[in-house]
Amino acid sequence: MGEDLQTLLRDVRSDLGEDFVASDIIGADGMSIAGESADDGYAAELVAASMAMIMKTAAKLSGNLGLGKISENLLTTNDRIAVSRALGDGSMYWLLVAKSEATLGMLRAVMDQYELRMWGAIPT
Amino acid sequence: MKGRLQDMAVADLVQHACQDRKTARVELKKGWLKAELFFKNGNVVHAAMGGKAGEAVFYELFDWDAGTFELKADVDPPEISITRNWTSLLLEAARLADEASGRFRADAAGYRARRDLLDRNAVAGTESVSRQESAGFEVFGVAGATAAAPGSAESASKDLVAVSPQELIDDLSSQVEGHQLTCLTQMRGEGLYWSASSKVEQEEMVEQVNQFVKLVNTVSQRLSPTSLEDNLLSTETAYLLVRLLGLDSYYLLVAADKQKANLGSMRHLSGVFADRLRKTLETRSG
Repeated sequence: MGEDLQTLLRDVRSDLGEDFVASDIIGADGMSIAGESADDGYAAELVAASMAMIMKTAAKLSGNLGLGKISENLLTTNDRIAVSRALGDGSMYWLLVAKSEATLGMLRAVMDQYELRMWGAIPT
Repeated sequence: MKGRLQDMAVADLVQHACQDRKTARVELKKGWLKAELFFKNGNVVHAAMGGKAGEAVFYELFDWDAGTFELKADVDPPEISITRNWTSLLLEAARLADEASGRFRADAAGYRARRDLLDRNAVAGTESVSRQESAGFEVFGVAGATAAAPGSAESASKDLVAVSPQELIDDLSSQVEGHQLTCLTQMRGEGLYWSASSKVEQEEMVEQVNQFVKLVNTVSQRLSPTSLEDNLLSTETAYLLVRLLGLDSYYLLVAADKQKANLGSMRHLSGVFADRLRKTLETRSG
């Protein structure tokens, strides 16, 4: 039996500590199937839907330019970093939002560590 | 024999090796770029850089005005990619360099001086640049590149920081490892400066990237009330970095080969050059 998605997201939150803002596992339809947030003002549904749209558009762009499959999108604003990754066969996305003070290398390392487990924990 | 290209230009190096009828390999380095030139019995027979080889590479190296070289004698070329006589090769390289330079790029030292002025301006903030120093501030075209920005004609006559966006784009391109493409444009599709390491359908690509950037920009507003800084898309084969200049919807796009690029330095360089480009565009628009 696979691990529990929500537990994994909490572990990610714990690993990132104060830098963690939110994280969601998002379907290609833009709906979150599991989420964890440290920010009450975080508009989870809206961000999830928007990120799915970005990943879909990115995949289309990459396909048209012959750059292969999308592996990651990293969006940086003045106070937030949002990393989106396609999971498994690309039918699901993992979004991790952190404060801009977070170390990008650390964020990516944490995602590397949990990526396969997240995919394995998605109910089939 | 070792040295710096600032002290011995590629043309001089070639002349020296060919007149001495050398068989040798010269390794050239500029930033992260590494290239090789091979001589056989006093002729240039092979030039290679990053998977490319032949005369085109030689002409690119001819333009290097900084970096290091190391000549090792009696090294045979792995292949023959250049058959043109060395004097003819140098003449053609000079002709192409002149053609690419237009009126303003002939003096590489002048460009470096202008770039230094820009850097000093960034520090000093208010330091003025004389009309003489700013001579040469205008859009120019290079092979495979287009340049058109609003206000360029007016800008040439102003006492402003004298580095054109195209020069900066070329400079950035030469420093990004595994470089494929650098482009400065606006979300509304105006003001295009371009440098590509391979043939690209630029208009089609920019249109598609524009749509993507608009979407990312919109989404970033939902994520946080502050503004988007950059977006990095990683695919199986490439990094596609978009950095907003915070000026009139301009953004800088840099694409590089994922196998060759250093992600950290690519992001850093894009930040440095985005800042320089913003300053240049601000001065041009008055």
